[in-house]
Amino acid sequence: MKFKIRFARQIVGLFIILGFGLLLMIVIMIGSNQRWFARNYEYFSEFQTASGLSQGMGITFRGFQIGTVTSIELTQHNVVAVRFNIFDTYIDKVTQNSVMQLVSNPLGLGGGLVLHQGRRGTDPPPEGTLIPSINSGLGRSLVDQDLVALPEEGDQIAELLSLLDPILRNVDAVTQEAEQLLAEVNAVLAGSSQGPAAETVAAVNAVLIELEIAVADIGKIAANIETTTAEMRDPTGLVPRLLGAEGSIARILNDDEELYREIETILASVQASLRDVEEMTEYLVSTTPRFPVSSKKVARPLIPVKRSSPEFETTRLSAGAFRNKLSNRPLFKVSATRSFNAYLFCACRCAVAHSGHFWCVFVFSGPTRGCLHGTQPGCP
Amino acid sequence: MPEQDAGFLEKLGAGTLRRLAAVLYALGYFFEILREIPGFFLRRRSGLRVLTMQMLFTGFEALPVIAVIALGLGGIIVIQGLSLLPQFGQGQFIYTILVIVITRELGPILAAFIVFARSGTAITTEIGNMVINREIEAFIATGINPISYLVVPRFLGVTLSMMLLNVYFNVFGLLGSFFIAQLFQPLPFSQYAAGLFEAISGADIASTMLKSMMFGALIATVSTFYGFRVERSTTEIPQNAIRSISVGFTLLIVANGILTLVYYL
Repeated sequence: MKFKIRFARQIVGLFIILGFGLLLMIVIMIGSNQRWFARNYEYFSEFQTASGLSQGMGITFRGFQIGTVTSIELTQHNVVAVRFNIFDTYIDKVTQNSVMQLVSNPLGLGGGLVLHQGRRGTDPPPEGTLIPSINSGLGRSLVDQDLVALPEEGDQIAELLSLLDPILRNVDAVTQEAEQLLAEVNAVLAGSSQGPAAETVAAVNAVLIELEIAVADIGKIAANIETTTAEMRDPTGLVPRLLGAEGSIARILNDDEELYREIETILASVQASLRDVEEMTEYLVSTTPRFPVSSKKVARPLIPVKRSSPEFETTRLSAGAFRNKLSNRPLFKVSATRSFNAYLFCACRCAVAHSGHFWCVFVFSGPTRGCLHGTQPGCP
Repeated sequence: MPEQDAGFLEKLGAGTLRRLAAVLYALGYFFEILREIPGFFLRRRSGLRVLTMQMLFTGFEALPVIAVIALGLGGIIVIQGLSLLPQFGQGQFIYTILVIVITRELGPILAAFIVFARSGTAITTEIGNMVINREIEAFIATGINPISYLVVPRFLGVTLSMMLLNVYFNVFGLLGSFFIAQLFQPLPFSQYAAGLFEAISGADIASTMLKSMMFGALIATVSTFYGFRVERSTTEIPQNAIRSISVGFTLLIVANGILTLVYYL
C-alpha cells in the first residue's frame, strides 16, 4: 500500500496539529506583543475639549509610553471624559496627586497625553479614579501647592531657534559656495582666469574677432554684389550697356574683322622686326669666334642659377628653339650669307691692297675687332 | 409589437424564475449539508475515512504548492517594499504591507484558488462518476444519505484543509519574507518578529481565518453540487467541472469582497 494511504491518518493528524499549533503560537505571540494577556489599570481624566485627543493614542511619562487612551466621550456636563489604561509595568509611576497634560506641538512634532507624577505619596490611586487635567481647577491647585513634579520647561522659541540654527548655517554655506561659483564663472568669462575653460573662452574671443573681420569682408562683398545687382537691374547701367545690342562687346564682335586685321598688321610688323634681329644675331655669331668661349666662361657660373631656376631653363630652351628656327630658315641663311660675303669682300680687298696676304681686317661699323688668317675663296 | 414585448417579458420572467429556483435549490443544498454535519459527529466513524482521505488530498498534498507560492509572494513584497518605502522614510510600513497582503487579502484567496483548482474539480469529477455508475442510487437504495456520507466529510475536509492551508500560507509567506529581508537588510529575527506582531492584530487573524473557512465551505458546496448535476453521460462530467470552476471562482471573489467590506465596516 502506498505510504501516504497507509499512514493517511498519521499524516493528516500531524498536518492538523502542526497547523493549529502554528496558529496558536501566532496568536500567543501577537497577544504577548500587544499586551492581550497583561494587566492594565484603568483611570480617567477630564478635559475641556477633545481637540488633539484620539482613541488609542499613547500616554507617556518622560518619553516612555506607559499606557493608551481607550475611549473619549462627551459627558452631560459638556466635559470630555478620557478613559485610559496604564500598563502594569509602569503602574508604580502613577502616584497620588498625579496630573495629566495634553501637549500639542504647532509643528505637529511630539505632543500627546503626558503624565506628571505627584510629589507626595507612593501608592497608585485606586483603579477607576480621576487623574485631573493640569488645566482643570484641581490640577492647577495641585500645581500651585507644588504637589506635582513638573519637568523644567525649556524655552520653546529657543528650542525652535536651536533647530533653525543649523539649517541657517547650511543655507549660509550653500550661499557662499554659490557666490564662489559665480565669481569663478565671471572670471572664466572675462578670460582672467587660467584653465581649460578660460583657454576656451579666449579661443572663442579670437574666433569672434576673426569672424567680425570676415563678416566685414562679407559685408563689402555683399555691398559690391548689391551694386552689381543694382547695375544689372538698371536698364541704363554698365552691364546692359556692355551686353546690349549696342554695347562694346557686341561692337567688338560685329566690326567686320577690323580688329582682327589690325592685330594681323601688328603681328606682321613684329615678324619683320624679328627678322632683323635674326640677321643681326647670325652676323654676330659668325663674326665673333671668342663669343662661345666667353659665353662658356660666362655660362659656367650661371649653371647653378640655371639649375635652380626653372624659369631660366624655360627661357633658355625657348631661346634655343628660336635660334633653331632662325637657322632653319633657308631665306634667312641666303640673306645672311650674302651680307657676310659683302662684308668679307670689302675687308679682303682692303687687306690685299695693304700687304698682299690673306689677312682680312674685320671692320664692322666701328673700330677694328680682329683679323682672320687663311685663304678666302670669296676674295678676288 | 405588443406580442413581441409580451414574449420578451415572458422569457425574462421565466429566466429569472428559473435562476431564482436554481439559487434556492443551491441554498437548500447548502443548508442540507449544514443540517447533516451534526449527524456526522454523532455517528462518529461513519465517513471518517472519507474525511481523512479528503484532508490528505486537499490539505497535505497541496502544501508544497502553497509553500512555494507563499514564499514567492512574501519575497516579492519584501523586495519591492524595501526598495521603495525607505526612499520615503517609511521602511517600517513593510510589516503592515506584509500583513495586509499576505494575511488579510491574498493569503486566503490564493489558497482558495489553488484548492479549488486541485480539489474542487476532483470532487466534481468523482461524484459525477459515481452518479454515472449509479453508486448514488445504490446509496439511496440501501438507506444511506449520500449527502451525509459523501458530501459532509468532503465539506468538512475541504473547509478544515482550507483553514490550515491558510495558516501555513501565512507562516511560509511571513517566514519567507524574513529570509529575503536578510539579503537586503540583515536584522535579527526578534526585531523582525516584534515589528510583524506589532503590525498584525487579532482582527486580522479572525478575518483571515473566517475567510478561509467561508472559502472552504464554498469550494466544497459548489464542487459537490456540480458533481450531482451530472445525470447520464460521462461527457457531462468535464462540462460540470468547468462550470463549477467558473462559478466557484466568481463566488470566491464576490465572497472575498463582501468579507473585506465587513472587515472595514
